[in-house]
Amino acid sequence: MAIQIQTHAKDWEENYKRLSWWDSESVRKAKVMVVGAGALGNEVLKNLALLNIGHLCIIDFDRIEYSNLSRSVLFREKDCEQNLYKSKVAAERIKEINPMVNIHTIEGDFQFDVGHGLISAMDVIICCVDNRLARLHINRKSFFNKKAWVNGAIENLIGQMEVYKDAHQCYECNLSETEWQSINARIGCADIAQKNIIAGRVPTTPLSASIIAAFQCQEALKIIHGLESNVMYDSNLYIEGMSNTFLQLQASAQKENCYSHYAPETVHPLSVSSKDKLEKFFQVLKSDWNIDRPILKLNHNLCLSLVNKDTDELHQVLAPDFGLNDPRYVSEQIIQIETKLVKDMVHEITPESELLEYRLESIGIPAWDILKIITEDEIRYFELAEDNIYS
Amino acid sequence: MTKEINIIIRIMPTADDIEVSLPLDATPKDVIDALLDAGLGIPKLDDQGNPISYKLVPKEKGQEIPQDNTLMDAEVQESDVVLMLPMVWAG
Repeated sequence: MAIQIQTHAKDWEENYKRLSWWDSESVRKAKVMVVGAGALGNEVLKNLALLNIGHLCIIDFDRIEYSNLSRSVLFREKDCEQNLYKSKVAAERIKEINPMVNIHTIEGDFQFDVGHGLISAMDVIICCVDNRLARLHINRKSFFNKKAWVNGAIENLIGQMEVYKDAHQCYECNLSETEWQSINARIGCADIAQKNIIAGRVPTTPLSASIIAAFQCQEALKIIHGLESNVMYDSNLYIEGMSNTFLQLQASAQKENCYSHYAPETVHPLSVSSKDKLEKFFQVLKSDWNIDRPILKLNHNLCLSLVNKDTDELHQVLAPDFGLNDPRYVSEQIIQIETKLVKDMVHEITPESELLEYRLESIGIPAWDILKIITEDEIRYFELAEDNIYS
Repeated sequence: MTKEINIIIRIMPTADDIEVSLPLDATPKDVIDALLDAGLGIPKLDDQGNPISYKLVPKEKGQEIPQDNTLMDAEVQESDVVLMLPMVWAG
């Protein structure tokens, strides 16, 4: 008797290709940023890996704790014993699920450590963070780069999902007074946010995380496929599992004069990296763009000196205001100072500055950022194109 | 004197209904503050001491009443059911 041997097709997407709307090329080329790798982030990343999304970018400054394990499908007990970063471990486990996915991780804060250029390269940003301040910055940076972002939030058996994009709805426009209070309280503690000092442990379940993450990925997939009319831009999902409440709420209109709504018309590529010195930055502005007297406008204050309020001792530093407790910018001696009073700071730099020997990254400019330059008669935006990880 | 209407506020996530009479010129903030201060046991803070943000959504319309609108602006009608939804933020 002749034996027929059937081989299994090694095509990850074989199943998906049977979907009439599925476009393998779009999915393989897709770039999706996932901000936050906690309970929601784990579910989102697992789904995106299974869907064979080509490029993932994971942002999270936190390390894995034992309490994360009950809601995080990608983490194991040994990860918290080794005090590993959530983003790194998530990337490793995703590779185990689907080795074809390309992954970039940033062990940092979305607000300070993610360059605009990286955001502008994404097809969609998926938000899985645990605070409103981070959502506000995701909204502002996504709008600045004309990108859609998919918000998810959970607590107990409640889950919410919204898709934000300019001309549809805006997170900042719809913040209530109470929500602004919690954001302002967190801004007041911006320098300690990374240390997780703020009490923020909210009871969540893998159930609401799975449900909301599935909807987030579904919307992201529609955006990747260009199925714009099917995306939930104009309605928001609200579910509550105990009372079996499933609501599709109509999105609220955008307001005028919202800080989030600004987006530059044009961004010019600049052959400079965040690892280059300010001197080169200004040289290239002059040689490639013929800009004579530029002013580099920083998004933060750059501290030059500070006083130890307990001893009145003066210390010279060169650090962004958000980095005064960050070993990337200041010494352990500065970090140990309990009450710091910034004495001198700048938020603009010109070619005449004494800071030209310093690298852009050392003054708080993240890789692949887009920088605002004020010239004599206009404002222009330049991208640190040498940091492009996808070129 | 401002005209009042009688509506049902459904407090989520418990889905408890409260019948209330409210002036038509009340904003969502007026209504929410009054309900939180009325001793009805509606939580103001979450387990971690953070203030809970609520939004009002007329059940039939399914659209949040904008913060700067009154009940009249939002065309809330007599006997309407208005959901009071806690907004969540964890991930």
